Formats: sequence, structure tokens, C-alpha cells
Amino acid sequence: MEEYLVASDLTRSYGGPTPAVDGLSFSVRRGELFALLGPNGAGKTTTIRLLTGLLGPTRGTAYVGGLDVRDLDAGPEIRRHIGLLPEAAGLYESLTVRRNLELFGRLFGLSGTDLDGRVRTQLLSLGLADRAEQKAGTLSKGLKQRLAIARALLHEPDCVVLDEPTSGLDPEAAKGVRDALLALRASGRTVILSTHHLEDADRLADRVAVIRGRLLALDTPAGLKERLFRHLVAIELLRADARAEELLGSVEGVRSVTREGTRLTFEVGTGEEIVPSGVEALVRGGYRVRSVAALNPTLEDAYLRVIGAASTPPSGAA
Amino acid sequence: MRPIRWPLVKELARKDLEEIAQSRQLLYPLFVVPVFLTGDALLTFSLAANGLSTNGLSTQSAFFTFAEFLLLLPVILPILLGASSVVLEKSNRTLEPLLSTPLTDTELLVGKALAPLVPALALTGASYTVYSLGALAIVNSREPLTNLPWGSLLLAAFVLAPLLGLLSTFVALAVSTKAKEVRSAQQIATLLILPLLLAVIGVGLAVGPNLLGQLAFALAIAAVAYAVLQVTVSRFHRDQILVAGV
Ligand SMILES: Nc1ncnc2c1ncn2[C@@H]1O[C@H](COP(=O)(O)OP(=O)(O)O)[C@@H](O)[C@H]1O
Ligand SMILES: [Mg+2]
Repeated sequence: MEEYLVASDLTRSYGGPTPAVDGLSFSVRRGELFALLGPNGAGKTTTIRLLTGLLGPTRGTAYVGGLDVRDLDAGPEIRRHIGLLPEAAGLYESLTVRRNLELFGRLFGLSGTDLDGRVRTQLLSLGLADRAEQKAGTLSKGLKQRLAIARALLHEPDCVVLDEPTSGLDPEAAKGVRDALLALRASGRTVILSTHHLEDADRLADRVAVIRGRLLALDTPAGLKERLFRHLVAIELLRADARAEELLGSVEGVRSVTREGTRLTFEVGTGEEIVPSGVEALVRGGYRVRSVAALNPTLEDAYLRVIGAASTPPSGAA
Repeated sequence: MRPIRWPLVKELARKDLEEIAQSRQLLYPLFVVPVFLTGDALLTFSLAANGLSTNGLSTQSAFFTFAEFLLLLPVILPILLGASSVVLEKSNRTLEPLLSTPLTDTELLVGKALAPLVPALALTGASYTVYSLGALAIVNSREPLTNLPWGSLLLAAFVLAPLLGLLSTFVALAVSTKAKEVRSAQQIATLLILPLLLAVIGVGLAVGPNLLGQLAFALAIAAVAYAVLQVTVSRFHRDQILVAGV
């Protein structure tokens, strides 16, 4: 598939000892829903600002539809391709819902009946039609977020970029936003979102980039779980002790055995014989096996492992 | 450089004006200051014209003095409106969506400059009109109207006031771009504009109702305005605006 957005050694420093975003390289395909996952301060917002041309990189660059974000003359064109939902909705609260949309429509070069039609469509599709003449400041947080999404979609961008779109919303409002995101992807748009909610990344994203200053992992949610926890197996014994743990650990292909009560958990590399050999070793050692089960790792397990392995703290704080 | 797209610039300025119109904090001083200054100018002028002036000003020099005095308006009003302009976008977090539109840095700056400049100059013009009409009414019965230095008044209203307004607006915007909050932005901008304010009054009165002298003064202000414009443009980049302050 065609690559729509490419980050190449993308780096941004705010003047602190380490850059906030350091050497990110990845590409997002057209029509893909791509998640940037990382803890607070990981550089998600900075990355999004770099990708949308709001901040200039200190090193490296990014391309949007083939245009270089460092090229200031290409800026207006790049921004026309992108619909941005920033971390804060950033509405003009003393202006009406309709005026907020009209303003951005006009700044994106829309006018007349075309603008009116699009405003009406967005108001309807995001359930804001009966609030159109209300001041934006009077909306609930969830509705503000929806208005900000409507604002980002008004000029029908190829690519929608959302910075923590479900953050701080109640479950119902968050679901509304997730549905809107899925509808966007279904419409063929490229969607990039940042999140620290694993569920969002797991449920919505085609691919996930885990970042913490640097790019720590990049894969599909399933691939990320699979790659990091190839196969996690638990053997339940009637009685377990340190010797059982040792016995199992000595079997070729068995890795990182842990014991919790009567349960031994371990990772299996590739090879069909490993689990049977492990069971056999335990039985020979006089242990009685109650059950053997393959565990399904969650993205959370994978995420915590990736984040934990990155010993460098989040950087860039001045 | 790409040409400025005026419809976008106007849209931004219109938005800013709508916000100003919704803000009592901005609107109140915007009208009180001109009313107060014009009223004060007329009152003192009428005292002088009636021979009641304490320092024995002639009617002519009183007319000129208060015409110069009204030049405070195009200096003060843009600071009032402009200093909060970018800071508020930052603290309300509206700056990022605004910067994500196709507006160029220059268009952003021009739109942001028009919003304080237009009402400031309109109110200055209105003040000069009221002052002139008031002065006419006061002097009417006493001496020929042609004795008053009208040329100086016109020069002040149509040349000096716009130049000062422009200068003040760009000082306010430059400060607003770097500041963290509205109050400090207004204070810093006022501090920066204070020497200008004193210069305007001092030089204006020293030059007196002398058209050539006043023109030279206007040229000097134009030069300063141009320098401030250059500085403001050179530091008005979306990257820096977004990162500075807040
Ligand atoms: N304007 C700024 N000035 C200085 N440091 C900043 C600025 N913005 C962000 N940072 C720093 O950069 C790092 C990454 O921040 P950010 O991109 O906001 O992360 P995230 O969105 O993942 O929480 C943080 O350590 C933050 O303190
Ligand atoms: Mg963030």
C-alpha cells in the first residue's frame, strides 16, 4: 500500500538535555489507522505537531503526501490535507457552535452554499444540530470534543490526526469518539491518533507505534503481543516448589519461568516439542500436572514490557 | 513570498472582533478611554478659549495641544486589544487549531494586527471629530474659525494617528507572542510604549503647530514603525509562537 506519511529520523529538542522526540522513523499507509502509544511526556504531542507542520524538526523531517514539512511554502498545502484534533479542543467559547465551524471552513477556503452544506452535514453527523446556535462554551466536554472533531473534518482532509481523542471523556462520550474514528477509517481516510489508552490502540489501530522519546516498537496490536510474548504457557501443578521451577527452566526452549503458588508460567520459543518436553520433565521429577494452558497476552502486558525495557526516562523536560 | 489572501485575513480579524465584542473586559475601557480623553480635552480647551486657563494658553495653542493630546488614543487602544490577542489564543488553547489552518504566518500576523487597529483608529477618528465639532461650538461666537491650526489637527488625525496606531499594534503583538498571560502582556507592552508616548507629547508640543516640523516628526515615527514591523514579522513564526510562553 502507498505510504501517505513518512517520518524520517524525526527529532525535536526544546533545549533540554535530551530531545523530546528522538530519531523517529516510520511510515503510515494511506487508509491506515495508526496509533502512537506512550505514557505522558513520551513525546506524542510533539510528534503530532511535527507531523502536521506546527513545529519544525531540529533534525530529520517528515513528508505528508510527498510534501516536506520543513518546506514553509508547502505549509498551507500540507495543512489543507490534514484535519487536526489537538490535545485540547480549543474552541472559541464565546462564539456559537455554528460560528466555530464556519470560521474554520472559511479559513480552509470554503464559502457560500458549499460551506453551509458541509456545516449542516457535520452538525448532523456528530449530533450537534440542535446546539448550532448555542455558545460553544456551554457544551459538555464530550460535545466540545465532537465539535472539535467536526471542525477537523469540515474541509474533508485526506488525513485526520487526533491527539488523545478519548482522554478525559466519560465512557459514553469516549465510545462516541471511537465510533467516529472507526467511521473515518471506513471512509478511507488515513487516521493517526495518539493515546495512552491501550484499549483504544488495541481496538482501533491497524498498527501501533510505541514511543517514549524514541520509537520502541512498531507492529500490529496482534503482532506486538505475539512478538513480545511469543507463547505464554501456564502449567498448574498439584504441588509446586523451587525445584519444579528449576526443572522446567532446564528444558531447552523454555524461557523466563515464574512461579506463583502452584502455577508455573513460562515463555515458549518456536518448536513443537517444547511444551510436551516440559510436562514430561515435571512428571519425571515426580510432579503431578493438573492443567496446561496457553495464555493470551494482552496489549497491556506487551506495552508495559516495551516501556519497562526502555531504561531511559521520558526526556526533554526543561 | 506568496501574496496575502485577504479573505482569510479578514475572516481572522472578524473573528477577533467578534470575540472583543463579547468581552466586557475589553469593551468597557475601549469606549471609556476615548470618551474620557475627548471630554477632558474639550473641557480644558473651553477653559482656555474663555480665558480661564491657569497657564494662560492662547486659544490657538490650546486647540493644538489637545489635538496632540488625543494622539494618546491610537497608542493606548491597540495595546488594550492587541496585547491580549495572541496570549489569549494560547491560554484558551485555540492557537493550535488556528495554526493548523492554511493561514500563513504573514496572514496570521496581518489578521491579528487588523483586529486591534481597526476599532482603535475608528474610535480615534470619532474622537477627533467630536473634538473638532466641540471646539467649533466653543469658539464659534468668539473669533474666526480660520484662526485655529486646522492643518495640524488634520495631520495628527490622518497621518500621525494611523502611524502611531500601527506602531503600537505591532509592539502589542510582539509582546503578546512571547508573553505568558494577558495582564503581564499589557504591562510589558505599556512599558515599551511609554517612551513613545512621552516622545509623542514632548516632541509634538516642542515642534508646535508647525506643519513642516510635524511632517518631520511623522517621518520619524514611520521609521520607528517600520523597524518594529520588521522585528515583529521576523519573530512571528508559528513554531516559536506555539512553544513560547504557556
Ligand atoms: N513547549 C515546550 N517547552 C519545553 N518542553 C516541552 C514543551 N512541550 C513539551 N515539552 C517536553 O517534551 C516532552 C514531551 O512532551 P509531549 O510531546 O507533550 O508528550 P506527550 O504528548 O506524550 O505527553 C515532555 O518531557 C515535555 O515536558
Ligand atoms: Mg500530549
